[in-house]
Amino acid sequence: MTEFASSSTSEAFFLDTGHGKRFCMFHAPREKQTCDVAVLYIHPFGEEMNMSRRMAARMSRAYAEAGLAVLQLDLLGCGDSEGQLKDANWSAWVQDLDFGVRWLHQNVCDRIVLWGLRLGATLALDFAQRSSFPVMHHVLWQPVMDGRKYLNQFLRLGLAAEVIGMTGAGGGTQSLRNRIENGEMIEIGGYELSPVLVASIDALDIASLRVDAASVDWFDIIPEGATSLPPGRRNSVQSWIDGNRDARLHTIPGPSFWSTVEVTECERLISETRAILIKEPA
Amino acid sequence: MQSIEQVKAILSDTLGLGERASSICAETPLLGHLPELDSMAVVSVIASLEEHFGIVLDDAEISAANFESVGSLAALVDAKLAPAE
Repeated sequence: MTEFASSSTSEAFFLDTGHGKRFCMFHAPREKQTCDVAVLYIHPFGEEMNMSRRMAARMSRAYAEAGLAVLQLDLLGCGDSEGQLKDANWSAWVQDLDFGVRWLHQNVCDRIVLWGLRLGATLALDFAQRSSFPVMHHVLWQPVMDGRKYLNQFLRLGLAAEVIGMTGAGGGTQSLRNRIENGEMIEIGGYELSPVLVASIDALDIASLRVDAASVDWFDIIPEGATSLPPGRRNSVQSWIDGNRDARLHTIPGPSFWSTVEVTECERLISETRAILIKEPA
Repeated sequence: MQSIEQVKAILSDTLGLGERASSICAETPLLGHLPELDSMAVVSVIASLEEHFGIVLDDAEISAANFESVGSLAALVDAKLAPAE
């Protein structure tokens, strides 16, 4: 096991995957000698990644303070990792996670928690289904449940820019989809999406991402003052929870911090997520 | 407009309006009047409305006219929620 520098708690490095270097941030646990749980964080896509950086950093430090090691890994073409988004595809991202877990096995321990936010949560579930590495536990923050719907929301950015008068006619979501179907790369708000990546995301349906061996804690943010999930999401979330062996749902009132206009934080999500792992048996 | 209170809450949460939220009403103008309402915010508001109400907006409904005021947005939601003919 690698000796962690006792004075530093967070360390940035590039992980060589053999398919390019991935930017990583490792948060060493406070009591390194007793650390027996390692967390791999899977970030969301696009602007959601940027808007949620602060929450990801705060949660990582909260985990480290509580005695867990955390590895944040930027996927191919995202954040500070090598590669361009136009060359990214879902299988490459799954491979990146494989490298991340492998690194944790080699440097921390083999009791792995996957913690994902938004599309990162969906990716975590898919990775776990395919991976030969056992996963002990999933922490899912507001998973993307329907890839096609999610992508349509992303494609709308071009349309929205037109609506607010910023650009000329760029075509609606259907014309963008037609271009993708013709094999064209499209660019939305600075993000280049290849047809291959679009096809993978479109195919995502949380109902097909089951967890048999690991336990799951699913966190959904609801508006302040609300007491339950919104009608548009309630049934599908509950149905997933009920259909998986060991899954629990937590609804947290607070801001949808991955998509608010200014960077926001959701304190309760941090404290309730932390509380889950403290209860894990040693 | 039955959905207006929830539409106001969604706008307030997504745009981070804070104290300004209490002064929002149906006549409050949106596009061109709220600096927070950029293209990302428009997409976020639409996504929140869709998730919250269980509706799906199509391209034609994402228009300057529907985003003109709080009232016009609420009217759009009400129309989507009305039972089909």
